[in-house]
Amino acid sequence: MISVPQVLYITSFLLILIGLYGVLTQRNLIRIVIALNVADSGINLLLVTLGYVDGGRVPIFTPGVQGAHMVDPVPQALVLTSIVIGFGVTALMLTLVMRIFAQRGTIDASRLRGLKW
Amino acid sequence: MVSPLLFIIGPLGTAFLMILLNRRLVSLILALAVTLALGILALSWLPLTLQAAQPMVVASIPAPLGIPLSLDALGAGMAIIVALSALLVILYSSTYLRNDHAPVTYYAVVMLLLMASFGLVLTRDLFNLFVFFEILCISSYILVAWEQNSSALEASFKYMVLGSIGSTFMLVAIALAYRAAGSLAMADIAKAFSQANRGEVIVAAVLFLFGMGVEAAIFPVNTWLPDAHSSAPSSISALLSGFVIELSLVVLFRLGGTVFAQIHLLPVLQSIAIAGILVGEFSAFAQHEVKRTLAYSSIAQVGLMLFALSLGSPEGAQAGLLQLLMHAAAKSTLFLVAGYFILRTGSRFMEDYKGLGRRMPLSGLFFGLAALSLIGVPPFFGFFTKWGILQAAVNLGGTIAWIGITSILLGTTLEAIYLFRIFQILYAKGENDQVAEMEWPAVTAVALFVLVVVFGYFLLPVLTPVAGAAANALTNLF
Repeated sequence: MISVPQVLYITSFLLILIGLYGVLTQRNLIRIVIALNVADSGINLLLVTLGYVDGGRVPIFTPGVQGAHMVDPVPQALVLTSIVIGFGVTALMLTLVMRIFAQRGTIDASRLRGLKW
Repeated sequence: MVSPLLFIIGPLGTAFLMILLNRRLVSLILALAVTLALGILALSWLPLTLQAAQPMVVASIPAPLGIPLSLDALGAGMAIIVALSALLVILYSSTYLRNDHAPVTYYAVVMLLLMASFGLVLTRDLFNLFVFFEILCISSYILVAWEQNSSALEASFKYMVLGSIGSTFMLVAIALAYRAAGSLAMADIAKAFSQANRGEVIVAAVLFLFGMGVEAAIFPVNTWLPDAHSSAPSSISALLSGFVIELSLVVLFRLGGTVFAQIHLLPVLQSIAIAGILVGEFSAFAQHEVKRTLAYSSIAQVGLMLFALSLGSPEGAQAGLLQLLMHAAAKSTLFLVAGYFILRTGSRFMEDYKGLGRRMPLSGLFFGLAALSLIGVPPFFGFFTKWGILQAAVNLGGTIAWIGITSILLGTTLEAIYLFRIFQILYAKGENDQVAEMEWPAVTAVALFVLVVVFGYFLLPVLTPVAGAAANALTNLF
C-alpha cells in the first residue's frame, strides 16, 4: 500500500520534471513562464510534504493540549516565502515578455536573436 | 559596538526612503553616504574579526528557532569590497546615467542588490541564504533590463529563465538538507550530512552546485553572462562582474567546504574551473564588441579564482581571494571606461574606437593600466596575484594542477593578445574628432579603482593576513 507522503513525493517530482521539460522545449515565452510556475508548484508541494505528519494537528501550542503529534511548521513557513518569491519573479517575467512583444512584435523564442541558448 | 545587522537594515531602509522621497539628487547623496558609511564600518570591524576566532553572532535567538547571522574575516573583507566598489560605481553613475530614465528606482534597486550581497556573506542559515540569493538575482534581472532596448530585455529574460531553474534546484537541495538535519542552520546541516548517506549528500551537493553556479557563472551554466553583462548599463556590468559573481562563488565555496565536506568536490571543481578558463579566454578572443569581450574574460577570471580556491591548500585560497580583489578593481575599471567609449561613439564595436585613446587620454591610460594588471604584467597587482595562484598550484603538484597551470598560461597569452588588440585600436589613426573626456566624477571613480590595481603590491603586507584569515573562514562555519 502506498502511503500519502509517497504519493505526494512522486507527484511533486513529476511536477518539477514536467516544468523543466516545458522550459527546455517550449518556444513561446509565456509558455516558458508557465512551465517555470509548474516546476515551482512541484517544489512547494515537496516542501509541504516534508513537514507532513499523518493525522498531525495544526502546529499551535495550546495550554492543556499535549503538543506531541503536530505537523512541522518550518516547511510551511518556507513555502509561504517561496510562493511570494515565485509570484514576484513571475510578475517580473511577464512584464519583460510584454515589453519584448511591444518592441519586437513576437514572443517566439526562436525568432528572438538574443534568446538562443 | 553596533550590530552587523546594519549591513542589511541600512541599504534596505535607504531603498524604501529613496522611493518615498523620489528626488534624484537626494537618492544619489543617500546612496553615496550609505555605501561610504558601510565601507568604513566594515573596515573598522576588520581587526576585530581577525583577532577573534569566534565571529560575532548577532540577532540570534539560540539556533533552532533564531536565524543565525555572523560576521567573520571573509564576510568583513567581502563587505569592504562590495561597499567600496558600489560607492565608486554610484559616483560614476551620477554622470553616466541618463537622467530622464527613472534614476531614483535605479539607485533603490542598487541598494537592494547591496543588501542581498551583504546578507549572503553574513547568513548562516540555508533558507535565508536562498532568500538573499533570490533578492540578488531579482535585482540583477531588473538592472540588466534597465535600458529596455530589445537586446537588454532579451538578455534579462534569458538570465531570468536560467536563474529560476537554478533556484528551483537550490530549493530541492534545501529540502533534502532539511530532511536530513531537521534544521536549516548550516552548522546543524553540516553535522547531519557528515553522518548521512553518501548518495543523498552527493545529490544535494550537485543540485546546490548547479543552483549557485548559475549566479557564479561557473562553466556549464554561464550562457546568460555574456548577453546580460554586455547589454546592461556599464555601471551595472561593473557591479555584476566586479563582485556579484565572485560573491556567489565564495558562498558556493564556503558551503562546499563545510556543509558538503563529506564528499570530495575539489577535483570536480578544479576540472570545471579549467574548462571555464579555456572557454572564457577563447570566446573572448573571438568577440568584436568591447563589452562582450570583457564579459567572456570575466568567465575566464571566475574560472581562475575557482581553480585557486579549489586547490584545497591555504595558500591557494589566499591567492584566489587576492585575485578576487584585483579582478574587482580591474574589471570594474575596464567596464566603466568601456561605458564611456560606448557613450561617446554610440557604438559597441571595437573597430569604431580608432583614435579614442588620443581624444580621451585619461580613459585610454586607465584602460591600459587595468588591462595590463588583468593580464598579469610584472609591476602591477595582477602579476602578484596570478603568480601566487601558479605557485600554489606548483606546490600542490599532480596531474590536474599541471593541466591547470598550462591552461592559465595559455589563457594569459590569449588575454594579452585580445587586450592589446583593443589598445592598438584606441591609439590607431582615426576619425573620432569631437569626443570629450569623461566627466570628473567618473574620472575620480575610475582613478580610485586604478590606484588599487597599480599600487596593490604595496598593500600586500596589509592584505595578506586578511586574506589568510578569510581563506581560513572558507572551510569553517562559526
